[in-house]
Amino acid sequence: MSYAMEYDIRRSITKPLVIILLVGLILAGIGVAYLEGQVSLSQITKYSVVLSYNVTSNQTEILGLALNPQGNPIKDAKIFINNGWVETNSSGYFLLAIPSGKSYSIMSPTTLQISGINYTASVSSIGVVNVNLKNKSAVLYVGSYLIKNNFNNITSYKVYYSQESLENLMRGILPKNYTYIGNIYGFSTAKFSIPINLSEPDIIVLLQSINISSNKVPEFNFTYSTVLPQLEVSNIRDTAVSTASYIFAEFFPLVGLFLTNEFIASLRSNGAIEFIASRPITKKQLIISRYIGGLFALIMGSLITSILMPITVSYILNTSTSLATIGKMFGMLLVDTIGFYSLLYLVAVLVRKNFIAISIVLYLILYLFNIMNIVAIIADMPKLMYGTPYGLYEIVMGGFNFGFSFAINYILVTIIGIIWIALPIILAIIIYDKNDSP
Amino acid sequence: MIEVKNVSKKYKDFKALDNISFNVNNGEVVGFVGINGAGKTTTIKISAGVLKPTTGSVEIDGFDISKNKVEASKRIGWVPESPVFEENFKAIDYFKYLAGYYKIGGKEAEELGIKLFEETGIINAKNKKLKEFSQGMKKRFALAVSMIANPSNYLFDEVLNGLDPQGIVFFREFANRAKKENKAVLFSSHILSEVQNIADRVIIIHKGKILAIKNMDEVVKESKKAIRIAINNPDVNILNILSKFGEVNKINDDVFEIKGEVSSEYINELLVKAGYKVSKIEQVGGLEEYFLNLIGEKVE
Repeated sequence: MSYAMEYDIRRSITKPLVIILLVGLILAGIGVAYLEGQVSLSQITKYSVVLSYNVTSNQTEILGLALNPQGNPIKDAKIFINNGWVETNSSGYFLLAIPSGKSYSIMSPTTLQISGINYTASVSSIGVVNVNLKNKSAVLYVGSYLIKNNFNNITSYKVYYSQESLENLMRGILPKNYTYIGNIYGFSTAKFSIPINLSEPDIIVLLQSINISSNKVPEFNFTYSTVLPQLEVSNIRDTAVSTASYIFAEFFPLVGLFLTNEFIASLRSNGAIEFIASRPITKKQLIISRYIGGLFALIMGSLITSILMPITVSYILNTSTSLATIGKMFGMLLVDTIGFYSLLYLVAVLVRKNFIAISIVLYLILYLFNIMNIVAIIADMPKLMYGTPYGLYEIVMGGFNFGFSFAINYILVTIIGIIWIALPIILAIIIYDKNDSP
Repeated sequence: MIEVKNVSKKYKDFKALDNISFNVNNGEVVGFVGINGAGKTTTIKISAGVLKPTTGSVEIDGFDISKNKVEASKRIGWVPESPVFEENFKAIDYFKYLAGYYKIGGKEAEELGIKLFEETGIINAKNKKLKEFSQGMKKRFALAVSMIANPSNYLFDEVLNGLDPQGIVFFREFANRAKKENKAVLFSSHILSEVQNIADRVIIIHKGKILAIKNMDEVVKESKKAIRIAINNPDVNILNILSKFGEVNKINDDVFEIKGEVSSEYINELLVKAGYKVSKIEQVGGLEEYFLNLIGEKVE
């Protein structure tokens, strides 16, 4: 049997369609990732405009401070804000006054012009500049938010700081622990030195009001978040790799469909399996041998992709990749592709006709439309997203959450992944062995 | 040796085989005959380990084909009625692939393939894809594959169908050689004259039941012989003349059959003297007669 299995393995990985699909999906993934990466990189902002607010009954004053990446104020810079251009003074500040009742618009990022050259700048009440990756330090600017009216008189805040992963940011998960870094007083911009954690690019700043009004209005808290541009590059790499791999993860299972049809389903349909079954082999050995033959192509495809895709995407985006990214992608691609492949073997032993039609319907349900995501949203049960191999892939590799706030349960991912891979093929072997004919 | 023991096979409510038993001994060629749907192919597929019997068992050289499939399958070669393969393979590649199941690989498999392709007369097509093979070539390929392990038992299902005269001669010689090599051969066929020529024994199956297991000598002896005569210028008196020799059956306007032991030379001489133009005169009977009588009785 070993020679025959070797032959099955060899032909599964040398099938032209398998090779074409593998190469095509890798190239398509890399191409899309490259485009996404270029667009994202071009949007990275290293200039900052830090805003402070002074809200009174009559007007809202906005004090802006323009900073370059080194943390120096930029004088005579033009900034497009509130649908118009403002110009900074010699200290890098500008002031806007908006009468009460009149709306205003602050867009981020915006255009910052220095000596006629346009740059992109983030606009927020916080700004992180002078990032030193070697010393793991940065300078944080924080703008105040004063409120003076009949009910409140907020003039100072305690400033807290924390760092989080982008994954948690995307999932809406706020930090549990903050570090107090100082106070901010009056209508001003405060400056703090902070340590930075290179693996968690999301900086979160919490302002907690010190003055509380006598009318017992609840304490004012403001939370601001910004992504460290220098660390965002590595995130863009991961995002681009994820994008690249989605294309692969969504379409490579079709190789499993092709192999299952070639190796078992079509042979059961046209009767060619009988001639093979009359060899010195049991039905159990026959189905396992054929399954392993195709399995090898899927493992090789997943492995090649997991290595080639992150390395290539990182290379063309001029970043780096990690063994963890490669390992995670490989593991999840195995679940994604083999889960479906095992299910198709179960289908192939249950039906003798219409295998392709049934498999395509399953593919549409489980992959192209991933119906469990829709069910999870309708039933408001986020755990249902773990229900399909592709769903697991989306959750782990892309941080998909569809608005649900939850952290990835890796134990659940592992258990469901193993079930998807093992259960259908075990059932297929048992049922096939009990069948009267091969 | 092939031993079929009390085998029954049911497909839902349909009983395809009903408790059949027979042996094919070493050094014996056994013909397996019956009308379409009688159960021949089902019996052969069960014996080849392709189908599971509902009850009963088949032993190949003492190994149960259901319980000890690997050992039993090594000892039997099967040529199906209409072989179906993975047809995108080249013949030699598919042979090598199937040889892998016998733990024969690489160069050894290739050399064996060439040898058996030469024996079965398909060496010139070894690099052709199986989908380009005719039905006869497919049977020869299936035979080559069935010979991989040089088994001591063979099952041939309607092996003569789709074969040209050369193919039929080849099979006849193959069966004779297998017999001399003390192998057991069970073959089914609709061409009863060939079965009579090739087989030592015949098993007649009808509606899933064995009707008869006979030595070919006995069949010939027991079958009612007849003479078939074709006359170019028959007239109203011909039936009266022929009926003097035995019971006459009018096959069509100018062909008549006289049952019984009759001398064809004598009848021919008489008819010619009487002015009839005899275009053909032949002895009929044997297995065909025996089979039709047996089946006819059952149909009645």
